[in-house]
This record gives sequence, structure tokens and C-alpha cells, in this order.
Amino acid sequence: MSIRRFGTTSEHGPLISRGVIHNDTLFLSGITASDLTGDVGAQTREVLQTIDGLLTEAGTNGNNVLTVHIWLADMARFQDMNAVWNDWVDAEKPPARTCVSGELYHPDCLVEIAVTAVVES
Amino acid sequence: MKTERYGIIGGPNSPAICLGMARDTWMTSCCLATDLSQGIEGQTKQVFNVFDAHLLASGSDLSKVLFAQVWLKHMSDYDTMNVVWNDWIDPDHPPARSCVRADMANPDHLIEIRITAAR
Repeated sequence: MSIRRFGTTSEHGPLISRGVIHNDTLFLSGITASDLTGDVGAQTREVLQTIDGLLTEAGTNGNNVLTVHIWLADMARFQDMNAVWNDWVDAEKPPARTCVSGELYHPDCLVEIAVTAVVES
Repeated sequence: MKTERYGIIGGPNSPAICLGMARDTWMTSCCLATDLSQGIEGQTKQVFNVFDAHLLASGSDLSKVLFAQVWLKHMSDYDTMNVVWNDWIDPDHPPARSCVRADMANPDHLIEIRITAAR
């Protein structure tokens, strides 16, 4: 059994790892934007860029993403998020996804995304 | 390979479920507090006590927790929950985590958490 952790942080108080790899499975923490002044499209773009960076750090990429959980502060903005999502995702290899509304840690935080992915050896 | 189950519950007002389950390389556990007279600190500790028991039963431990999904009824409890969290986790092996606000089935439930761990 192998477990590798990276991006250990206590930025918002809790001690967590941004990524944990168990054998060939990667778990990423729920990622939020650092710039909370943007609209949901801008925040989604930043979150997906951050996730791309973490996938690279783990030795994988967006084509190997298995599951995605999206929380939107306002479900009325669903299509705004989806437009950015469709730009990001490979239409030939889309992951499984859920999207529900949820209040996030800060009222200006409009989207949080948590993914799991395969890390090919 | 067999499936192990921990904490099977049921009854007239409860769904028939198991709180924890394990396969060959991983275990998962999801629960709420049972003593709802307690505040966020007490309820969070109760949940972690159940996880400790399930980790032990599955031959895992705190250093192998991979991911935690936290649902808080009140985001104003975030900082207090984090203090209990930082006390519980293995500081050398912190899991990945997501935390969002949600309403639980009973209005007195303040927190629900799911963990996934290697074993």
C-alpha cells in the first residue's frame, strides 16, 4: 500500500492535504477560488485551473478524472458554471459528476469542486 | 475478497444502513452524533469516536485517512469544528477534505462526516 500526500495547508484553519494518492487513486480536497470577487464563471475557471495544477502535481491529468462533486452557492448560475465546465472537459472522456447547491465557507465563495482521479503508474 | 460492515442500524424511524464498510484496500464510514443535546464540539467528537472504532475494526488508523466530506448545519460552527478536527487528525498525515453547509434529517444534527481511508 502506498499513500502520498501533497499541498498540506492550514490556510483556513484546518490542517488538510490538497491531494492524497492511495495506490492509483487520487483524492483532491474541495477546491475554491482564492479570488472571491469574480462571478461564478470566473471562480469556476480559477478552480479548474487549480485542479489542473494539482492533477499535474499528482502525475495525472483531466482525462483521468473519475468523479466530480460540484457545490454551487446559487443553482440559478448552473449554466454559467456549465459553460466553463464544457470548455475545460474533454468531451470524449467526461467524468461522472454531481452538482448540488450548498452554502460554502464564505458568502462570496460561489463554487467548490472536489474530484477523484486515476494516477496511471 | 469480502465486504465488511460496521455499525448496522435500523428501526421504525431509521433507514436500514451500515455506518461503515470496508473492502480489501479501503474502508469508508459516515455518521452523525447520537447525543443531540451536545453542541458542535461535542457532536464532532462523537462522530470522530465512531470513526476511531471503525478504523480500528478495519485494521486502519488515523495515518491512513484519505478524504473527509464534512457537512455542517451552520457555517458559523466552521472554526469550532476545525479545532476539534486539528485535534483528531494525524498532523503528519492530514487527509484531503471538503466542507459545505447542509441540513440534516433531524434539525438538532449539527454535523455529518464521511471519511474514506486506506487499510
